[in-house]
Amino acid sequence: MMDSKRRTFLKSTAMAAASSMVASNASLPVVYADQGVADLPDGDGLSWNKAPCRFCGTGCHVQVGVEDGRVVAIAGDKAADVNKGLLCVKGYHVGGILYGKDRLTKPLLRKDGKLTEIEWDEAIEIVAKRIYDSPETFAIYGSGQWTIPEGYAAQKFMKGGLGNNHIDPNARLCMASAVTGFLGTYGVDEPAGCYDDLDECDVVITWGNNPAEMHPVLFSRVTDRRSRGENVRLIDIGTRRTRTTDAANVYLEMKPHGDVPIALGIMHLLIENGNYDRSFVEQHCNFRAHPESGKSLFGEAISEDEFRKRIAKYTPEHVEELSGISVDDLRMLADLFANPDIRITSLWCMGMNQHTMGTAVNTLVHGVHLLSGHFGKPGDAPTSLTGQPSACGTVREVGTLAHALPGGRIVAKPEHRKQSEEFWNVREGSVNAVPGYHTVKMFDQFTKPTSDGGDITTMFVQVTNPGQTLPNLNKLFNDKEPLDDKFLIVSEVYPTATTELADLILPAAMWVEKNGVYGNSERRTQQWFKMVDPPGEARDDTWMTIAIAHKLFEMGYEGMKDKDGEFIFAVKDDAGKEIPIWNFDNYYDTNVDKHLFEEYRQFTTMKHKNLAPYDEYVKARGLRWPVVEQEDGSWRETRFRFSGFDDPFVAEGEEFDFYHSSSKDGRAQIWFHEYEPPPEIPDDEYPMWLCTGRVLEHWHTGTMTRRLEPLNRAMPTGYVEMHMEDARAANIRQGEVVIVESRRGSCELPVWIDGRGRPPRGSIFVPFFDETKLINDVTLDEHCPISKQPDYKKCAARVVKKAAAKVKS
Amino acid sequence: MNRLTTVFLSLVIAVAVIGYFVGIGDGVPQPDGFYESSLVDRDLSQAAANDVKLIPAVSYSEISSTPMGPTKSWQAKPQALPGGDYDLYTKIEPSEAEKEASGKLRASRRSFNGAPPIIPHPVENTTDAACYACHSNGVQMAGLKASVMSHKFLGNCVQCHAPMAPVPFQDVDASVETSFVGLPAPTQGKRAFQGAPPTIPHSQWMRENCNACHGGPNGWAGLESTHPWRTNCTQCHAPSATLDQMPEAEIVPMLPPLDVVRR
Amino acid sequence: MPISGLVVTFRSSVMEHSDTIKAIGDIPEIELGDAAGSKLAIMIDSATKRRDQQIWNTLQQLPGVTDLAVAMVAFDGELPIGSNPDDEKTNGKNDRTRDQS
Repeated sequence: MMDSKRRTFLKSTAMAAASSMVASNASLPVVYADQGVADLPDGDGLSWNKAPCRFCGTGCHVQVGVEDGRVVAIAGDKAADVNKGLLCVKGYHVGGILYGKDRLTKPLLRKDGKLTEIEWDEAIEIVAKRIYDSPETFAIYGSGQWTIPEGYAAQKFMKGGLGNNHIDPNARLCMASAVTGFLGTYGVDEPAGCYDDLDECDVVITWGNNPAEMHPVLFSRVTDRRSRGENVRLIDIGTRRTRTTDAANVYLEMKPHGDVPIALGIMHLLIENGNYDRSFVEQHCNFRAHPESGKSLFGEAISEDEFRKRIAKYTPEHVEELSGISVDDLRMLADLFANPDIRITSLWCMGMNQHTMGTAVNTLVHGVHLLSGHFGKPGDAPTSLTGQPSACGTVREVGTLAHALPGGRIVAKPEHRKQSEEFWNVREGSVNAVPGYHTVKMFDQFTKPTSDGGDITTMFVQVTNPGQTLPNLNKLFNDKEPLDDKFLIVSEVYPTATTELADLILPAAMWVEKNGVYGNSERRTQQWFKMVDPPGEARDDTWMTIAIAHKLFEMGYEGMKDKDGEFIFAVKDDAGKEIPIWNFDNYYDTNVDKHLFEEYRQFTTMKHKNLAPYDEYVKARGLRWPVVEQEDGSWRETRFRFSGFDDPFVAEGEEFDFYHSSSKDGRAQIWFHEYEPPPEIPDDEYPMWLCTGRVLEHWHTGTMTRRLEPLNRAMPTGYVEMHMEDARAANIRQGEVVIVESRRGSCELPVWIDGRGRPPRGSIFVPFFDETKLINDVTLDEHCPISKQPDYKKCAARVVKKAAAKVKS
Repeated sequence: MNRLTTVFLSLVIAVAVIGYFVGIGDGVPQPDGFYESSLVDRDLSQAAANDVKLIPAVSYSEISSTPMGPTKSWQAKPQALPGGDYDLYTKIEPSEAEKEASGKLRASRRSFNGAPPIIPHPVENTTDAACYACHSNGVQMAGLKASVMSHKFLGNCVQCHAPMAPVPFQDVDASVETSFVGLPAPTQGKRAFQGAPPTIPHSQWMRENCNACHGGPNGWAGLESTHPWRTNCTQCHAPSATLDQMPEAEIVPMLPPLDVVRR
Repeated sequence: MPISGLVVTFRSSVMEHSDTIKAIGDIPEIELGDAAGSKLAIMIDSATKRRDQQIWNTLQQLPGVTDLAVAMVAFDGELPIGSNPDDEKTNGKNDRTRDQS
């Protein structure tokens, strides 16, 4: 019960507030937040320090205000190029994520179904012992929210130490198709352009993308140019109206999977009208398609004639039929690309990546830009955005994927394995040549009984929440529960859908409770220092990995020794004496992040993703790679890759040079793909398209943002967005709780008719942030054959009134 | 004019009443009246198109290219603006209690000093133009007062300002358990000597428009200037480095601006 | 247990609506406060949010009342056990909850 003294106080305040409004011209209604904390901050001893925001891939820099060992304020960093002093609602409140009342502060072991507190030593020993007993059935499921040193440590531990490639990140669900799209097109991953394109472009095309909510700082960077009187055209291609549509000049509503024929149709028209960029294509491009034998990442070369022949069938009329975009609109798009005097930036994110033709549609949009020559000049860029703060830095660059090694190397290539073994100073042959399981496969193997061939028995999940984000949860996660021999270890900061099934929960330090380095969507590497202590016994993820590795080392596990017999993560002081960083008390005796980063830096030159020394990042608000040392000893970042005027690796005198071309001739690849229908299409039984996604106020699974009052109040629940006519036909009211179900599962949600986004008739949208309403019980696990990224954006579902469901059952 | 308003209001009330009964009838969708509002009634909108006194609404994207200003009929005949009931020279001396109440109200809308204030009302299907309509110069209506923007116009208002829950979810319990305690605002500026003008006890970042809170008819009760007729605030009131609270923006070495050759 | 301060606005001066004011005063959760012109300040201390909502609805429908404005709301404090059985929370705990401790 609330104590009576405080109640009396509240009552008198309430009355006083009302009386003051009676007496004067008063202000709008407010919600009064009574904080009721004795030891309030007062601004004395307040200090500020820089950090990248903890949330999305935009990579805004914030200034973190710390007083008496607690974060008390956040400000946009005015010296940061990315956000120029602004933030979004999430960023302004990022400081509060550390202070949810239910932070995990003690290791917890599930004994007889009940979680029991244990000591760290015991926890580390349990993990080490399970790995020691069966190293090849151990898997790590990591994250695009791993810092670079965290991901690098896990990578080295698994691939260098255990010779086990079963390490994959949640980024597989998020940007794997963007990776394969870049690789297939340029032979090397990550965007050529950067955010400066947004300041220069005349046209922005959003392909199934809603940056007004998901990357608001980048979006307002464009719309603010308009407010200043500049002319920027915004064309929104999507399957539903969003806040981005509100600001768009043109909205083109496509059918699900319509992006593929639209891109093909634009290329068809450019060729048919003869107004593509002939000289750019002749000098810098090849044509490519999948061979008949089957799909592959790099495909095979085809002639320009062959390309013309194959694309000829994608006439505007055929495209209209496939995509739902009118002939006129398609011609309008093609005419834009045909105009060499304007600068066009394409933006995309999950709409094109979470797609069973994800790799294909990524390469096709790159192809549209290459064919039309809208590439490599400031403002002319195909740019994929990332959703996580270090999907680029930790996953794509450190290569924490089942098939990859750091710095763009892959386990399949003997010389890449050899190089990695040399950098790691481990015995030859330590790295396994066979790629591990990708995410969907990994969880499939983990949740399948061992007797049925489920050969992953222990899984360590760090910095992510697969119990909420995996598709088709009933198949890939929930059925782990009855399997006694499977062991799930979860490092987390709060209780989540994942910790519900965990056998061992390790409390983690987060964000400015530890040192870190992130890498954002525009190749920018960003460093920060620990500013406050984690609560209770929460500890760094890097430390957990090193402590487990050292326990194995003590147990005599050979892989944890390097060639000279030393611990693979050994760090020495100036006198050459080893610092016991595996004891948490000694972990901050040195900057472990810096040691790992400097070791990792050696890997970055092969793919020309050169990084500067750690100390350069301490001084900067991030630097965009390749960062190269100048003659005067300063370090210079690169804004436009492959463009002669800016990229130091382009041969002298060349205007463009795709120096990692898969055809080894300095050219990029323009792909052709045949349109394929979505894996599941609405029918009589399940008549609605279901699309899932995010909202402005919540970040991904909401574990952090749902603990921030201003954000949770602004968006307190998951919901299903519905068209008014559909609701009327089904006799459903605003706010009514209904059941959304598919062939795989169901979920109960309140209805928002014509809500913030407005889906067309026959389709519904559900955000996935709400852990009490798991829409991924409904989604399907079909994925792109090349990137293995699942399609969360389209499946067949139906909306059922609760009463009707009761009558039926 | 008055009659028109009455007719319009009774129309609104009639629609609301009908909407209410329709709304409680079983199973009928209640789409917030967004489409069924009298505002989009065809007759009305036609009447609007023919009425030279009305300015057609445009979408946010069209604002920059739409000339906005006095209507034709307004331009045709010069008329006097209705005088406001705000007297610049009314003596204002907020008491300590009023200042404190004002500060408390202000604090209740922020997680910490420096955070963008929340929007104390729900926002639905609303564009920046709609926010701007009330919050650009401040609107006073029915005893309520819309705050004036303290910073220059920035697009995508809800990027920084979090609204209340959308209408269908207002009954959802959105409380959170947190131990976060935000930085409070400093209470007052320092005076060099008695009678000297106090320093500005806060950062001016995003608070360039002093009048948004401190002056004019739309100032915050309890925060108003005692001398609203003086307009050049920083002539006498210096920013205070110690009370600014904000981090210093030291310049980070960056590349020189791009030298782009347009073809 | 919401506590709120509200301002009731009447069609005309408060003096002319003594019946309505008496009706408001009869609601046990309400305390009457200052009145000036057509405005009356009240304070509501109700047991549940639902009850708070009911009172709000009742007030709005009273004769002579034209507007109801919120001056302050405090929502904190947990509910006494069993006090709110009919409150259908849309963000209630997950069905799949397991023991966390």
